Amino acid sequence: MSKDESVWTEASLEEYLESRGVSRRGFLGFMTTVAATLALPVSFAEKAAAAVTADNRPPVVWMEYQDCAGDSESLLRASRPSVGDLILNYLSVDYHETIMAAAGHQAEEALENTLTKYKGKYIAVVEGSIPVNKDGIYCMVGGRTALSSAKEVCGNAAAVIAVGTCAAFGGIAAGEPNPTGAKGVMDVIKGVPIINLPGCPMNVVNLTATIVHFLTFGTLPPTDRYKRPLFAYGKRIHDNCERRAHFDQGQYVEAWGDSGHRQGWCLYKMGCKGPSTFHNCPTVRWNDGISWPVQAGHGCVGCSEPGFWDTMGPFYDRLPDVPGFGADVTATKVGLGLTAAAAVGVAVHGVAKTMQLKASGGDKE
Amino acid sequence: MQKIKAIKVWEFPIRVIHWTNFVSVVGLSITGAYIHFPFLSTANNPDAFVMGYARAIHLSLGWLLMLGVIGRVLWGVIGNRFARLRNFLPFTYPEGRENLVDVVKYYTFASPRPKATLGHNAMASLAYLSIGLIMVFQVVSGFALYSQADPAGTAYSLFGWVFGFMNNGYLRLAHYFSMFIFASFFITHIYAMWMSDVAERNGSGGSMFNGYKYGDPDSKI
Ligand code: HEM
Ligand code: SF4
Repeated sequence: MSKDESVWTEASLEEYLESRGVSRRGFLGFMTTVAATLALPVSFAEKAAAAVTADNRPPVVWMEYQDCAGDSESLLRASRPSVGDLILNYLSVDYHETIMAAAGHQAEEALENTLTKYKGKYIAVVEGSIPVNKDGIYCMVGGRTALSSAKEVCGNAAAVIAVGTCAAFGGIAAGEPNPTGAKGVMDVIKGVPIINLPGCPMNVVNLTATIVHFLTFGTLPPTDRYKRPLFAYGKRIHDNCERRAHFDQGQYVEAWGDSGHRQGWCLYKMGCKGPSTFHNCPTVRWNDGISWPVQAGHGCVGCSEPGFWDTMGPFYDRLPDVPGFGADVTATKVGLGLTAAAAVGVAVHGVAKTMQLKASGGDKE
Repeated sequence: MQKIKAIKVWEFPIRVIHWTNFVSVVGLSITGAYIHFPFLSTANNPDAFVMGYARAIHLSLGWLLMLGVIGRVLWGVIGNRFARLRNFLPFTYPEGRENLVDVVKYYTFASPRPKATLGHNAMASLAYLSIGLIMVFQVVSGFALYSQADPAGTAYSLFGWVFGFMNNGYLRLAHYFSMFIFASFFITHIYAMWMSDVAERNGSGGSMFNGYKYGDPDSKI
């Protein structure tokens, strides 16, 4: 974002929104949506609006480590910026490697200033995994490893939000054999509140809601065992999917473009990972709520689950391949092999044993 | 010379549990195979609800299997000496170890016949121990999968810990793969039972129906 100090820091959020054509009414409407996303009552909207516009709100710094900038992309979007994007832009002025105007020493200085001035008060958003092999030399920014930078930036934050599956669980970079030793933030940083918003990329609606929750209550929202907020990851895709009726009915897409596919049947047999994936894609959807993968006719790939790359692939098979057997060896192949081996084994053994019994001479006792 | 008698080896509850386990494992495998690969096409029947029924049957039989496993463990504590849990750990007592060597010899053709046992021979015990553990795994992983429909619910609070050990993808893979272990077990189980009937003439083939085996009442195992 082009950061012009004089305009950006002096204008209030409301003035800023106003200048972008968003009325107070529109702003409150958006806050109501956020309240709904968080599954909180409407009365929350008013409170949250006050918290977000308050002068003493903490700054946000956005760190990028071993990543593809997909989460930043998700934030910026291709469509016209929504109120949520504007609020985030407004909040995250302090540092964002990809989209800030400052570069080089100037940028590092801006970060350093925020870290000292708001020590223990700012929110750190982390995108990308943190490689730890060879002391983390696989990812260096400004002459520093991601590891040492994360320790400083995250270690001194009020709260850390790991956006995207890489920052949450190591993601794609952590896929077998994980040459860089990529890890999620929570595996590297201890002692600070951390919340994960996995997804490839994360959904900006969930990020906004998490930040708003933090600004309003001073705490991160309640999470599941993988530190994912329950409001966004508390339900399985499969249980909120609009194609679920076709699943129960036994109506499946058998091939891309077949009549079932054209009629919007269930994508289970095409490898949909909805039954294993927790995310609110079916309800909040993407790109201003326009669509989401299953609605667009492609199965869920399970991007928000830990071990995404290794255990949710192959994308077009129901289950992962059997680990340790090389590529393309399905459990069905190994299982049928095992069963056939048992059948052949007992047949051969049976013949041999019968012959041995005969040879050893009829009945004993 | 041994004194051979018909002896009540398998008490009624053991036999009942054996057959409910049989029914549930076979039913779970058929419905499970359908859940894994829904092979019935219901394209032209809007009222089919096949997957719905397959899952409902799978889950009900899942309960049955769970009760079977719990019942068997209980009977392993209060049942007769052939049913005791100790039998599943033959390597923990001398007669068991001795018998294990003897049965390995029998299966590797080193001896034509094993020494007679009344209850499970040592190798069979180990096979049942393994399949029992896999049943426990299936029950735990199955209920864990089931509980995912409502992570705020009771089932998840009881079985959700599983996901601390295994993530979704591998848990399903293991749950699916176990089906083939049951199939392989089924084949070897029938064969071993039949072979022991032929080689030992101990009536093991009928014993799970009537409870009786023929053998030496003083036999330790
Ligand atoms: C002999 C034991 C069992 C066998 C052979 C078996 C087999 C299977 C198979 C092959 C699947 C499909 C997996 C996939 O492709 O994703 C499955 C799914 C499942 N099983 Fe089992 N299962 C057994 C026991 C149980 C038990 C005891 C429960 C507990 C209730 C259970 C609950 C489930 C559930 C909830 C699913 C997922 C259904 C879905 O995705 O809608 N299973 N099982
Ligand atoms: S499309 Fe995927 S998520 Fe939707 S019902 Fe089918 S399997 Fe479940």
